Amino acid sequence: MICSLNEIEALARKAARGAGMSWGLAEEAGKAVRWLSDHGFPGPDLLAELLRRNDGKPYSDLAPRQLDGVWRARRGPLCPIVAGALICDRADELGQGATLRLGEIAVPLLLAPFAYEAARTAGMTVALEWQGVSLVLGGAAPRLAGDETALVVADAGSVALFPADDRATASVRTSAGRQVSAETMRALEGFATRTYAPATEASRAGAGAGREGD
Amino acid sequence: MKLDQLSPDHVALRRPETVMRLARMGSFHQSRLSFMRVLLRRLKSENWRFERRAFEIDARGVGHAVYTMHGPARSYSLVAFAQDLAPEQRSDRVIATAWDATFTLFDGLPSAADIARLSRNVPLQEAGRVTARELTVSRANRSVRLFDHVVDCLSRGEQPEAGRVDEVGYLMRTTAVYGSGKLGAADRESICDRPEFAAPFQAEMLTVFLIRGFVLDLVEHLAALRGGDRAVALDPSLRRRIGIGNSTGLGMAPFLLNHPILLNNWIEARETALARIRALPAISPAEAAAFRVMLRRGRRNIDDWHSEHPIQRDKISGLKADLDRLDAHVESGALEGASPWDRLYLWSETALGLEGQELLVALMMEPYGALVDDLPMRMSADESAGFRIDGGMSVARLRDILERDYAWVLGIDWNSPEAQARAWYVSAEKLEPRLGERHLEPVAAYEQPLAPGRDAALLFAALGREASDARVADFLLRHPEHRHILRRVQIAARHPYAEIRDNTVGAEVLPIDLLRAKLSFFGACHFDPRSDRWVRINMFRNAPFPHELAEMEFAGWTYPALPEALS
Repeated sequence: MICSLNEIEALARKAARGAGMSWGLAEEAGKAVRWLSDHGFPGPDLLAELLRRNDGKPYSDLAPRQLDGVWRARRGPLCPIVAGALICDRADELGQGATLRLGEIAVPLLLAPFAYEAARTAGMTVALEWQGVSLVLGGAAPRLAGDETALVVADAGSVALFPADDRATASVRTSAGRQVSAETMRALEGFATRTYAPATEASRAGAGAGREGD
Repeated sequence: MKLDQLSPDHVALRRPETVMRLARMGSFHQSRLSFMRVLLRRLKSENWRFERRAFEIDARGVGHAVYTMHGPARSYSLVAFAQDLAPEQRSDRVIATAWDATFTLFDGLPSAADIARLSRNVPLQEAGRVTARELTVSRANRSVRLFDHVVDCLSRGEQPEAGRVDEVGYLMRTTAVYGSGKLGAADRESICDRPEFAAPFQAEMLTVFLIRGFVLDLVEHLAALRGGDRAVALDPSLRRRIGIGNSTGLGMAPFLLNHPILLNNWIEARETALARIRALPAISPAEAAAFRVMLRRGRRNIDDWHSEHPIQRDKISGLKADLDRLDAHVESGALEGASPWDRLYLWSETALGLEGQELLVALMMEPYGALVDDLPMRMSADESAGFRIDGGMSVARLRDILERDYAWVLGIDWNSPEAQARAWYVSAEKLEPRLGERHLEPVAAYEQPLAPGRDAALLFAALGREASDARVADFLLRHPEHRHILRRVQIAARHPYAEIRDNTVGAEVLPIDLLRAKLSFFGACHFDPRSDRWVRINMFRNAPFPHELAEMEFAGWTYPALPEALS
């Protein structure tokens, strides 16, 4: 199904909330997936993969801590939404020339929208690198260098984010970013459903228009 | 006088603490800045041309029609599908599955293949899909009271009785007008750089404007098929008194809370208009005369306003008393002397109720198109511009903002049952927002983030345990549960009218106040609440029809013409 960006963002936000994120982080997930779809990446597929992996994990497991200059989760791989929010919240540090190092992380491409946003805030160009692939973000369309097959891996050993010269490389192809497969739609709707309350007679009564005097 | 000579410092904007209260917002009226009026001003000034490209409707009222407006650069086409609905199928609820008519606004001129594709999807509404070529999706039901009666009268060669027409005010009412990417339609972001969509909700308003034209044509068409040579068309002046009704329930209520920058821009434009007029040093005789006419026409508009809801009945009778006082005050010389508008407005704050004060604000704008008609271009918003959190902000600074902009939440005892009597949630049944009783229904676990006051109080309490020089970024790393409200507080710090300064989950909250505020900016009239959570309104009543735009004079078209002007 081809979806509008507003539909994609709304579904992603609800699914992330249903999978246990706080509303504020779920909003970050919605915006990130929207950005990915708008730039030709399979945003909804990536989020569905992440939510399946992290379903039921408490935030305390996912919360990043800095050890020896590297951000790591307390237990298991980092969540790219949590880590992405951290990148954006620390955009000022990036602007001062710092390199951000992240330990093992799930679905690393989900970091790209956050890195792009942090670069925009800091008024610079950044590179996001993992497993031999590098995304250059800032200004116009995302540019890619290295091994394209590593772009959509489900796990990355470690990721570095640093200020970059704009070594102009191939622009990332724009595929059908708004095309959402039936399987992904089902997965995300399944998570979203958890945010809906079972209807009660009391809630049904008077919520909308009745017929009297029409 | 030039705009830049009207220094905003001369008369300050009203304070957010005054304006952003639900009781006042629930008393807003349409004005020159309302989106329906913005649309018609543009269509007229740019000489948009109307064309009825198709009207293939049979005697049962089944078929399709295409109504197109041609603008200077682009054309837009309403594609309408009419059906013959059994009475028991007719429901205004979002849970309905069939409607008397369904619509989409097509970007350009639809081909036969487009019409065929749309005919398989638009009549299904939520169960169908549209594409980025479509800008809106809508549906409407007939007024059981009026539709058949008007067809019957016209088919016998008679005009329907004006009183009966006025009592209802519309032949069909829309039950949803979806835009902004809903059901696969074009995202607003993809069309917002077109001048005709620079002001908010212009595609939606154009849709409703064309729907009204279609519905009036439809009754006359059905009457002609039924009555043959005996049938007559509606008298043009009676025809113009018929608008499009609308039923709006809780689904729309969270909109203003979910679009804080947009809300800020709407209110700021309105407050800026008021401040510019209050800053005028004097009123010319022509302006005074124009205001007096609009005051009388505004009174007629209120006289046409009927509601059986106890709250609204009291408000309407209070408003009529307000207008009597206002009229007497104006006739006693209130428009003379120095800074008359400022003095009149300040007088209203003590002499009139909220309905009267806010109607005066709207009426004061009527003679001053040159002074205020630029403002709607500032009323759109890029909500994503407020999305990024300033992680470098200190906890001390954030506390200061909360104490300044959220002082009202710090005085509420959030532990009392009344303060959190309600919870907004989405029902599994129809995926629509609902307002539940937190202490009586199992809904709290599903609560939507629509209680900014309560959440700001929780944030303030949590910040009390933080060091003053700590950074927001570090606080959020440990407290992701405050991320939503913290973002909102930072938005409110930059946009003074972004936040409603009332408890949205208290025992006393009236969702119809949120609906009225939004619908008044659309340009709706005759708010008729049917409970504390849904309302019927009228849109485009008294407006010209698409084919009349060029010749009809329509300054202040919303207000009914005075009898002497009609004769």
